[in-house]
Amino acid sequence: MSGIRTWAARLGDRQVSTGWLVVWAAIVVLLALAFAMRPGLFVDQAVGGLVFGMILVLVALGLAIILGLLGVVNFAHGALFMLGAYLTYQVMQDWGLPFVVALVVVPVAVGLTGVVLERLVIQHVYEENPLIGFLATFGLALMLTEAIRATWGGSPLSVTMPAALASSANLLVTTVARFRLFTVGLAALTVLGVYLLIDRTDFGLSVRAGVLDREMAEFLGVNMPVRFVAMFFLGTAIAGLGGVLRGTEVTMDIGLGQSIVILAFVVVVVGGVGSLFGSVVAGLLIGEAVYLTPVVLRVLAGATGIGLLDVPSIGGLMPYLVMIVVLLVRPRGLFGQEGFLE
Amino acid sequence: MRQTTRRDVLKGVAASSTVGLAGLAGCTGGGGGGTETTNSGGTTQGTTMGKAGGGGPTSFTVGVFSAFSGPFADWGPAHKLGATIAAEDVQKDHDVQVTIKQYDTETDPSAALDRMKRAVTADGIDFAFGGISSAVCSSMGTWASDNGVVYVADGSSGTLTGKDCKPYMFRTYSSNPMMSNGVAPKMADLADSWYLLYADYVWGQNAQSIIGSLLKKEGAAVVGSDATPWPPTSNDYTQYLNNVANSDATGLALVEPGGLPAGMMKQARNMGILGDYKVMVHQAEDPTFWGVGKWAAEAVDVAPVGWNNAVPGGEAFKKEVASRGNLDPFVRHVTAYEGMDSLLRASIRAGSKDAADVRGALEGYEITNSRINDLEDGKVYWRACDHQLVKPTYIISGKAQADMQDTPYKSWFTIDQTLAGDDVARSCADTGCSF
Amino acid sequence: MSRGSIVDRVTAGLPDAVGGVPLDQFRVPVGLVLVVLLLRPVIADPRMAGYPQLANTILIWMLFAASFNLLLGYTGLLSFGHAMFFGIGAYAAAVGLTRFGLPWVAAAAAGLVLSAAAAYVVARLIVQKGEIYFAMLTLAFAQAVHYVANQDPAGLTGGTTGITGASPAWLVSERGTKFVHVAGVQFDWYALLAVVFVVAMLAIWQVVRSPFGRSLVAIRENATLARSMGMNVDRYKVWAFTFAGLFAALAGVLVEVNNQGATLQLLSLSVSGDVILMTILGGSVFFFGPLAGAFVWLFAEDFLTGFNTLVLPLTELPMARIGLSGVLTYWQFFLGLLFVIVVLLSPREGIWGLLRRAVARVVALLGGGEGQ
Repeated sequence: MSGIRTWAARLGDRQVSTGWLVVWAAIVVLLALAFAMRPGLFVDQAVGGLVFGMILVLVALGLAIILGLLGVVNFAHGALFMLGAYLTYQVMQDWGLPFVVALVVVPVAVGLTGVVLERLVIQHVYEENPLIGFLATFGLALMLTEAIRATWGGSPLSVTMPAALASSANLLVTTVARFRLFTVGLAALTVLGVYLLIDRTDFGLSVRAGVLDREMAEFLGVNMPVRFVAMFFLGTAIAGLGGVLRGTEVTMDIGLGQSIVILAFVVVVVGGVGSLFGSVVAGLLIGEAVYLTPVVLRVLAGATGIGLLDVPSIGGLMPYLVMIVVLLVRPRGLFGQEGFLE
Repeated sequence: MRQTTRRDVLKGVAASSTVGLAGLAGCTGGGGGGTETTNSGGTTQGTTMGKAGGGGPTSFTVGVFSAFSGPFADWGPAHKLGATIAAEDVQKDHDVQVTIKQYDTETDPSAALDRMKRAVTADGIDFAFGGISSAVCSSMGTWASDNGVVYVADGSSGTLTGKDCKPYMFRTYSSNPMMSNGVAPKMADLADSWYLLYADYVWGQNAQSIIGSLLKKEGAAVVGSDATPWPPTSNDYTQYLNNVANSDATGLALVEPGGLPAGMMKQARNMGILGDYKVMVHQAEDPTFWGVGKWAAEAVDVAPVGWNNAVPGGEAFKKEVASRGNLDPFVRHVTAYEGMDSLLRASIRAGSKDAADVRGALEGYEITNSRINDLEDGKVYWRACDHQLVKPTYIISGKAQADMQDTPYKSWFTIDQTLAGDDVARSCADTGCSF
Repeated sequence: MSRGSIVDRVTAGLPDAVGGVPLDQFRVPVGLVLVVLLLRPVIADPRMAGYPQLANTILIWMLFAASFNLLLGYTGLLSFGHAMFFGIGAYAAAVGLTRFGLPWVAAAAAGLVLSAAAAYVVARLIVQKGEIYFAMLTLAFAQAVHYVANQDPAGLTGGTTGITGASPAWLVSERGTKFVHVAGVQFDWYALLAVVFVVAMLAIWQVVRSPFGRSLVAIRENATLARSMGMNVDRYKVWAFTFAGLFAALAGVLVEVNNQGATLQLLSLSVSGDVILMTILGGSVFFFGPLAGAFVWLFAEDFLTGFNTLVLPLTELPMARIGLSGVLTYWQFFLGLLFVIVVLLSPREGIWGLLRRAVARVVALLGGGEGQ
């Protein structure tokens, strides 16, 4: 994950073409215009976009680990995320335990569920075409979703937030919900933890080696199945953690898994499969794009009088538009590594 | 002579499991030992009580189409229960036999259409009821009507009794325009400037445009309106709430379906801004609040609805639903009751199951069924020009948490205004409906 | 076909060629004709679905899945947005019929052209990317088309409600059964659908068997090698994508007739996902794989949603009546379980592979020691 260094080096080496200069200039001008016309809203959305971006990173992180390290297209990611949310409801609302307990116990529970799925089904499809894994995990996602519906019903549910986190935080220039900041903090810690684990420990080194050449690693005595299970546990536990946090902040319902799994994939792909740093940058980029584009368009529509520019609900399409633009320019995503799922 | 069905084939599989009685199949008492009529194909929940006799139709098969899987899966059993109770009541009053068949629309217009086709061609249903999303209703209703089957829809979009109306399609849910027309005056009373957040599809778009223009007529300002993505890509709405917070609005209108308003209200509360606004929730249906919490219902300042269990009257029905069903009584139980009741009694009145005859018996008919009259606080009749069931529209708001009732059923709202259907429904000319 | 395969053994007694054409070549056409001839009676049987019109939906999705497999199974390209072309076909036909008053054939032809053009343009933009990036880009384009259709530009698409009641003039519907009424002759819609299906599938088969098709397989196997041998890999991919879009649009115009309209759901992600899953389920390595997958998927869905009461041991002697309506509203659970089981049993070859192996085993058992 020497992404940062490579990126900086490339920046230094690269000669930016005039076409790109124009594009960057236009973006800066538009942003400045929006800031000038609606400074309060602009700052709110800019900060909000970063916050949302980090939330996206957390949601996508588990998927990125499993896809990047194990090469498995884990479509059950969304269902496991949802399981995390519903288990939080169970722990906090039904059993009346405090939030901290849920924060610790639920990810572990979801991780264990992931391990069960891995041992029963997913380990058989490692060697196959990733699409086979897609079908298998899709089936697992259906089963999980229905099991969740059977247990908790189909109507929306909500969890009472711990009082300490339930208010808003005054950040001088803007106000953000305190719980969201908590989520951002936890997301940052998790990313850091994963980075340290994979890049700085021997365990992580052995996992990376095994991913590159499983046969050789096993020949050298590295127990790969254990490591694969451990990585799968990590990925699904993080998905569960995401579910805990998102489930507590907002409400949860049966459609939750499906909607976030697509977004998670978009983030991972934009960042480049196999790059942790890429997922972070992609998440933040998409978050900002989703939050700021409507502001810019609205200001532009007001300034020029072209009402059509104020495209309704463009925020929902932005992740896909960002993906198109990024992939057209950098075919492997922002920091994708060659050979990953190509 | 019965044909062997695939279900018969599976009977040979002797699995020793526990005996369970299909809950709603109603294999209780009555004559004949409560048999389930297993016809070829389709599912059967048979209530076969009563004796045959007299002229006119004596047995009916009605299809209930609803979501039994997916995000609206709790609504299906509610539809089914309402329809079942209606069928039971009709069987008590007349010597007829009613069989209800259930079909899963999967909230997908193509799948729903296939189920409708099967129900009519293979299972031989006489009438149909159901559908929640208007795309599903329109898809099923167009086909049903074209093929001579009377269908009562339960979607709310204005187009179903508007430009997409059909000769044999009727609609029991209060229309989107009815609710939008009804709520605007109250909204203008509560706040002078409103921000509208609406879901970016037909239902949301129509409600937003009607409410927006009506608010202006009532002297309130619409300081902003944002379309939220449809289908939702994430349940995060902070950016729209940021827009609201940065405007001069004193009222926040949430024209969003299902559980989204409650989710948005929670995010607003986290941001510390919920208390700054009068909150309107369009077509609020109780179950979306029951799972979220009393605070959410309490925070609703105004909501137009087709029905709410706070209506005075109909306690017996409400208690029956509470004890028999998976959800406490809410609007879908009542619309299903009204739809099924109307279909059966119209056919009995007409003395025939022919679509044209049933249509004739429904158009202009004012419902005198005491149960429905208890449940609805006003005149209820089938309008001939567009086949809308014109009935009261209720403007509700959340009670204070201490006043909320939980037994025998959850009742968290109170009715502030009951508007006669004729006062809020579009004029016939405005609907754009022509058969 | 490899020696010793089932078909070889069964046809062992037949002549090698008929009229100079090797018998082998009739395998697929015969198979297709058998499919359309047997599908409806099988589906209509009360023990199965008991509802003949399901066969229409199944045929349409078989064609759609086959068009998708042209990309996945034969070229090795994964597309997450194939619903885009399906929807364009359906919407073009519906819009042409209702908004412009065109005869259906003209509207449908316009739909095919539009879809092929869109496929060509999209492919030109994105074929050079790696597998997963290509797949996600197709998703992005499909979502963009979905978004535009939802906005109901110029009142053309009808937003989420879509277009209903758009029926060709030559289609007559009588309480459920559709008939084609042309030049005084009336025949079942299924017959027309079957003919179009067989012709389209044969066209796909021709594409696949041609040198073009074989080049696609070469690209799937090893694109780098193909490129090193001087093949313009990108150009082949673009044309494969265009053909796939064309045939998907054909399925789309057929579904428009079948559903008498077009809804936004046809452009949705779930349709794109379903066709991928159907193809893998059936086995993307076989020509008939997607057909098997579409059949099993749609049949299972219909079966599971309709199934409600298990009476044991016999309806005549009911001792236990198990109300499964409680359990089987969770039918998607069992659908998911079906996928998992198929993947575990037959990961690479899907259901069609399972079927072939089962038949081979049966034939071997019956054949016994003869003809070894």
